[in-house]
Amino acid sequence: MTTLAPSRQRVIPLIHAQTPAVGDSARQVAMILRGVAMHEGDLTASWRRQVRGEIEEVARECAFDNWDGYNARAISQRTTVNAARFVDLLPADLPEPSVVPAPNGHIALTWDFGRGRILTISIGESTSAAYAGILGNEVRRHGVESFRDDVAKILVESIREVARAG
Amino acid sequence: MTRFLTSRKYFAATTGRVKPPALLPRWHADHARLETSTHRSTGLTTAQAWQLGYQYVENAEFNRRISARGICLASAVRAAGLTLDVNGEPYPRHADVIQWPQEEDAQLMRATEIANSMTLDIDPRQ
Repeated sequence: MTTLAPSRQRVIPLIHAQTPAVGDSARQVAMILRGVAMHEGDLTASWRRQVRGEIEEVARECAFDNWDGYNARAISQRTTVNAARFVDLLPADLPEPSVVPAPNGHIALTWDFGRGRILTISIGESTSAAYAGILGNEVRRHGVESFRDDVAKILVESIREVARAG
Repeated sequence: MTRFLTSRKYFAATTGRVKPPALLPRWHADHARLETSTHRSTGLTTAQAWQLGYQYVENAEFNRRISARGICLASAVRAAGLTLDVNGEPYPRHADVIQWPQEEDAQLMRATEIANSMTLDIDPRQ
Protein backbone atom coordinates (compact mmCIF):
# COMPACT_ATOMS: atom_id res chain seq x y z
CA MET A 1 0.00 0.00 0.00
CA THR A 2 1.30 3.47 -0.84
CA THR A 3 0.99 6.11 1.81
CA LEU A 4 1.33 9.86 1.36
CA ALA A 5 2.32 11.67 4.53
CA PRO A 6 2.43 15.44 4.05
CA SER A 7 4.10 17.51 6.75
CA ARG A 8 1.81 18.39 9.65
CA GLN A 9 3.23 21.93 9.83
CA ARG A 10 3.07 22.84 6.14
CA VAL A 11 0.17 23.02 3.74
CA ILE A 12 1.32 21.73 0.38
CA PRO A 13 -0.96 22.80 -2.43
CA LEU A 14 -2.28 19.70 -4.17
CA ILE A 15 -1.22 21.02 -7.51
CA HIS A 16 2.39 20.61 -6.40
CA ALA A 17 2.07 17.32 -4.49
CA GLN A 18 4.41 14.56 -5.63
CA THR A 19 5.41 11.16 -4.40
CA PRO A 20 8.41 8.98 -5.23
CA ALA A 21 6.31 5.82 -4.68
CA VAL A 22 5.78 3.39 -7.59
CA GLY A 23 3.22 0.70 -8.41
CA ASP A 24 -0.47 0.50 -9.32
CA SER A 25 -1.63 2.04 -6.06
CA ALA A 26 0.74 4.96 -6.50
CA ARG A 27 -0.49 5.54 -10.05
CA GLN A 28 -4.10 5.50 -8.89
CA VAL A 29 -3.35 7.97 -6.12
CA ALA A 30 -1.48 10.20 -8.56
CA MET A 31 -4.47 10.18 -10.95
CA ILE A 32 -6.80 11.11 -8.11
CA LEU A 33 -4.48 13.91 -7.01
CA ARG A 34 -4.25 15.28 -10.53
CA GLY A 35 -8.03 15.27 -10.80
CA VAL A 36 -8.39 17.09 -7.50
CA ALA A 37 -5.67 19.55 -8.46
CA MET A 38 -7.46 20.36 -11.72
CA HIS A 39 -10.70 20.94 -9.82
CA GLU A 40 -8.82 23.08 -7.30
CA GLY A 41 -7.36 25.05 -10.15
CA ASP A 42 -10.85 25.77 -11.50
CA LEU A 43 -12.09 26.94 -8.11
CA THR A 44 -9.21 29.28 -7.46
CA ALA A 45 -8.65 30.51 -10.98
CA SER A 46 -10.98 33.48 -10.68
CA TRP A 47 -9.90 35.01 -7.35
CA ARG A 48 -6.22 34.20 -7.84
CA ARG A 49 -6.30 35.85 -11.23
CA GLN A 50 -8.02 38.88 -9.71
CA VAL A 51 -5.55 39.16 -6.84
CA ARG A 52 -2.53 38.69 -9.10
CA GLY A 53 -3.90 41.51 -11.23
CA GLU A 54 -4.19 43.72 -8.16
CA ILE A 55 -0.63 42.86 -7.17
CA GLU A 56 0.57 43.96 -10.61
CA GLU A 57 -1.47 47.16 -10.34
CA VAL A 58 -0.13 48.01 -6.89
CA ALA A 59 3.42 47.27 -8.02
CA ARG A 60 3.01 49.64 -10.97
CA GLU A 61 1.55 52.41 -8.84
CA CYS A 62 4.27 52.03 -6.19
CA ALA A 63 7.28 51.41 -8.41
CA PHE A 64 9.08 54.55 -7.24
CA ASP A 65 10.26 55.84 -3.86
CA ASN A 66 7.95 58.19 -1.95
CA TRP A 67 4.85 56.84 -3.68
CA ASP A 68 2.78 57.89 -0.67
CA GLY A 69 4.35 61.26 0.02
CA TYR A 70 5.69 59.92 3.33
CA ASN A 71 8.97 58.45 1.98
CA ALA A 72 7.61 54.97 1.32
CA ARG A 73 10.02 52.62 -0.47
CA ALA A 74 9.40 51.46 -4.00
CA ILE A 75 8.02 47.96 -4.53
CA SER A 76 10.55 45.85 -6.41
CA GLN A 77 10.00 43.26 -9.11
CA ARG A 78 11.24 40.53 -6.77
CA THR A 79 8.64 41.50 -4.18
CA THR A 80 5.94 41.46 -6.85
CA VAL A 81 6.96 37.97 -7.98
CA ASN A 82 7.09 36.71 -4.38
CA ALA A 83 3.64 38.07 -3.59
CA ALA A 84 2.13 36.45 -6.68
CA ARG A 85 3.88 33.20 -5.80
CA PHE A 86 2.48 33.31 -2.27
CA VAL A 87 -1.05 33.79 -3.61
CA ASP A 88 -0.60 30.78 -5.89
CA LEU A 89 0.36 28.64 -2.90
CA LEU A 90 -2.78 29.41 -0.89
CA PRO A 91 -5.45 26.68 -0.67
CA ALA A 92 -8.45 27.04 -2.93
CA ASP A 93 -11.10 27.39 -0.26
CA LEU A 94 -9.67 30.50 1.42
CA PRO A 95 -11.40 33.87 1.02
CA GLU A 96 -9.94 36.49 -1.27
CA PRO A 97 -7.60 39.06 0.33
CA SER A 98 -7.21 42.71 -0.54
CA VAL A 99 -3.80 43.89 -1.76
CA VAL A 100 -2.18 46.78 0.11
CA PRO A 101 1.21 48.40 -0.51
CA ALA A 102 3.36 48.81 2.58
CA PRO A 103 5.73 51.74 3.22
CA ASN A 104 8.72 49.40 3.56
CA GLY A 105 8.28 48.34 -0.07
CA HIS A 106 6.46 45.12 0.76
CA ILE A 107 3.11 43.93 -0.55
CA ALA A 108 0.55 43.11 2.12
CA LEU A 109 -2.46 40.83 1.78
CA THR A 110 -5.24 41.72 4.19
CA TRP A 111 -8.31 39.74 5.21
CA ASP A 112 -10.66 42.14 7.00
CA PHE A 113 -14.00 40.92 8.30
CA GLY A 114 -14.75 43.92 10.51
CA ARG A 115 -13.75 45.17 13.93
CA GLY A 116 -11.76 42.60 15.81
CA ARG A 117 -11.30 40.30 12.81
CA ILE A 118 -8.40 41.36 10.63
CA LEU A 119 -5.26 39.61 9.45
CA THR A 120 -2.38 40.91 7.34
CA ILE A 121 0.45 38.96 5.72
CA SER A 122 3.34 41.03 4.39
CA ILE A 123 5.67 39.78 1.64
CA GLY A 124 8.95 41.33 0.52
CA GLU A 125 12.07 40.34 -1.36
CA SER A 126 12.76 37.24 0.70
CA THR A 127 10.63 34.12 1.01
CA SER A 128 9.66 35.06 4.54
CA ALA A 129 6.23 36.46 5.31
CA ALA A 130 5.54 38.59 8.39
CA TYR A 131 1.98 38.35 9.65
CA ALA A 132 -0.18 39.88 12.36
CA GLY A 133 -3.84 39.73 13.15
CA ILE A 134 -6.72 39.99 15.55
CA LEU A 135 -8.53 36.75 14.75
CA GLY A 136 -11.78 37.18 16.64
CA ASN A 137 -12.53 36.41 20.28
CA GLU A 138 -9.67 38.77 21.19
CA VAL A 139 -7.11 36.29 19.85
CA ARG A 140 -3.95 38.02 18.67
CA ARG A 141 -1.24 36.36 16.67
CA HIS A 142 1.90 37.55 14.91
CA GLY A 143 5.15 36.09 13.64
CA VAL A 144 7.26 35.30 10.61
CA GLU A 145 7.00 32.19 8.46
CA SER A 146 8.98 31.13 5.42
CA PHE A 147 7.40 30.03 2.18
CA ARG A 148 8.90 28.58 -0.99
CA ASP A 149 6.92 25.61 -2.28
CA ASP A 150 4.29 25.61 0.46
CA VAL A 151 2.65 27.78 3.10
CA ALA A 152 2.99 27.33 6.84
CA LYS A 153 -0.06 25.79 8.43
CA ILE A 154 -0.25 28.57 11.00
CA LEU A 155 -0.87 31.10 8.21
CA VAL A 156 -3.61 29.06 6.57
CA GLU A 157 -5.24 28.35 9.92
CA SER A 158 -5.08 32.02 10.86
CA ILE A 159 -6.85 32.99 7.63
CA ARG A 160 -9.55 30.39 8.27
CA GLU A 161 -9.86 31.51 11.89
CA VAL A 162 -10.34 35.19 11.07
CA ALA A 163 -12.87 34.31 8.37
CA ARG A 164 -14.77 31.99 10.66
CA ALA A 165 -14.98 34.10 13.83
CA GLY A 166 -18.00 36.25 14.58
CA MET B 1 -5.95 61.56 16.73
CA THR B 2 -6.00 61.71 12.94
CA ARG B 3 -3.84 59.85 10.45
CA PHE B 4 -4.20 61.42 7.02
CA LEU B 5 -4.19 58.70 4.34
CA THR B 6 -2.37 59.53 1.12
CA SER B 7 -3.02 56.34 -0.80
CA ARG B 8 -6.42 54.92 -1.78
CA LYS B 9 -5.05 51.48 -1.08
CA TYR B 10 -4.74 52.33 2.61
CA PHE B 11 -8.45 52.15 3.28
CA ALA B 12 -11.67 50.49 2.16
CA ALA B 13 -14.37 53.09 1.60
CA THR B 14 -17.14 50.49 1.28
CA THR B 15 -16.51 49.04 4.73
CA GLY B 16 -15.18 52.15 6.47
CA ARG B 17 -11.97 50.43 7.47
CA VAL B 18 -8.35 51.54 7.61
CA LYS B 19 -5.76 48.99 6.47
CA PRO B 20 -2.94 48.25 8.95
CA PRO B 21 -0.07 49.11 6.56
CA ALA B 22 -1.33 52.72 6.63
CA LEU B 23 -0.06 53.00 10.20
CA LEU B 24 3.35 51.36 9.76
CA PRO B 25 6.31 53.58 10.70
CA ARG B 26 9.06 55.05 8.60
CA TRP B 27 12.62 55.75 9.66
CA HIS B 28 13.17 59.44 10.29
CA ALA B 29 16.88 60.09 9.81
CA ASP B 30 16.94 63.44 11.64
CA HIS B 31 15.11 62.04 14.65
CA ALA B 32 16.94 58.70 14.38
CA ARG B 33 13.81 56.75 15.13
CA LEU B 34 10.87 54.93 13.60
CA GLU B 35 7.77 57.09 13.59
CA THR B 36 4.29 57.48 12.12
CA SER B 37 3.06 61.00 11.50
CA THR B 38 -0.34 61.93 12.96
CA HIS B 39 -2.25 64.97 14.13
CA ARG B 40 -4.17 65.81 17.26
CA SER B 41 -7.71 66.49 16.19
CA THR B 42 -9.44 66.61 19.57
CA GLY B 43 -11.58 69.72 19.84
CA LEU B 44 -11.60 70.38 16.10
CA THR B 45 -14.69 70.25 13.96
CA THR B 46 -14.59 67.92 10.98
CA ALA B 47 -14.09 70.87 8.67
CA GLN B 48 -11.25 72.20 10.82
CA ALA B 49 -9.56 68.81 10.85
CA TRP B 50 -9.71 68.64 7.07
CA GLN B 51 -8.39 72.19 6.78
CA LEU B 52 -5.45 71.14 8.95
CA GLY B 53 -4.67 68.41 6.47
CA TYR B 54 -5.08 70.54 3.37
CA GLN B 55 -2.90 73.28 4.78
CA TYR B 56 -0.11 71.34 6.41
CA VAL B 57 -0.10 67.77 5.15
CA GLU B 58 -1.03 67.95 1.51
CA ASN B 59 1.92 68.91 -0.64
CA ALA B 60 2.17 68.48 -4.38
CA GLU B 61 5.94 68.87 -4.29
CA PHE B 62 6.20 65.84 -1.97
CA ASN B 63 3.64 63.85 -3.96
CA ARG B 64 1.31 63.99 -0.98
CA ARG B 65 -2.42 64.09 -1.69
CA ILE B 66 -4.97 63.23 0.98
CA SER B 67 -7.71 60.72 0.17
CA ALA B 68 -9.14 60.05 3.61
CA ARG B 69 -8.30 60.08 7.30
CA GLY B 70 -8.37 57.50 10.03
CA ILE B 71 -9.55 58.70 13.43
CA CYS B 72 -9.02 57.14 16.82
CA LEU B 73 -8.46 58.09 20.42
CA ALA B 74 -4.91 58.79 21.53
CA SER B 75 -5.41 56.03 24.08
CA ALA B 76 -5.48 53.53 21.19
CA VAL B 77 -1.81 54.32 20.59
CA ARG B 78 -0.94 53.64 24.21
CA ALA B 79 -3.09 50.51 24.23
CA ALA B 80 -0.99 49.24 21.32
CA GLY B 81 2.13 49.65 23.42
CA LEU B 82 3.35 52.77 21.60
CA THR B 83 3.87 56.39 22.58
CA LEU B 84 2.54 59.63 21.13
CA ASP B 85 5.17 62.37 20.89
CA VAL B 86 3.07 65.53 20.74
CA ASN B 87 5.65 67.90 19.31
CA GLY B 88 3.67 70.33 17.14
CA GLU B 89 6.49 70.14 14.59
CA PRO B 90 6.84 70.70 11.69
CA TYR B 91 3.26 71.95 11.81
CA PRO B 92 0.58 72.67 14.41
CA ARG B 93 -1.01 69.74 16.20
CA HIS B 94 1.51 67.33 14.74
CA ALA B 95 2.33 64.24 16.78
CA ASP B 96 4.50 61.22 16.03
CA VAL B 97 3.68 57.68 17.06
CA ILE B 98 7.00 56.38 18.33
CA GLN B 99 8.73 53.55 20.22
CA TRP B 100 8.00 51.04 17.53
CA PRO B 101 9.67 47.63 17.80
CA GLN B 102 12.25 46.69 15.17
CA GLU B 103 10.65 43.43 14.05
CA GLU B 104 8.26 43.71 11.12
CA ASP B 105 5.63 41.37 12.53
CA ALA B 106 5.61 43.22 15.86
CA GLN B 107 5.22 46.53 14.02
CA LEU B 108 2.39 45.05 11.98
CA MET B 109 0.64 43.85 15.15
CA ARG B 110 0.69 47.32 16.66
CA ALA B 111 -0.42 48.91 13.39
CA THR B 112 -3.28 46.41 13.30
CA GLU B 113 -4.37 47.34 16.82
CA ILE B 114 -4.57 51.01 15.92
CA ALA B 115 -6.16 50.51 12.49
CA ASN B 116 -8.75 48.19 14.01
CA SER B 117 -9.86 50.91 16.42
CA MET B 118 -10.11 53.63 13.78
CA THR B 119 -13.10 55.09 12.02
CA LEU B 120 -12.72 56.26 8.45
CA ASP B 121 -13.60 59.69 7.11
CA ILE B 122 -13.38 60.17 3.34
CA ASP B 123 -12.02 63.44 1.97
CA PRO B 124 -15.12 65.58 1.26
CA ARG B 125 -13.52 66.73 -1.98
CA GLN B 126 -13.85 63.19 -3.42
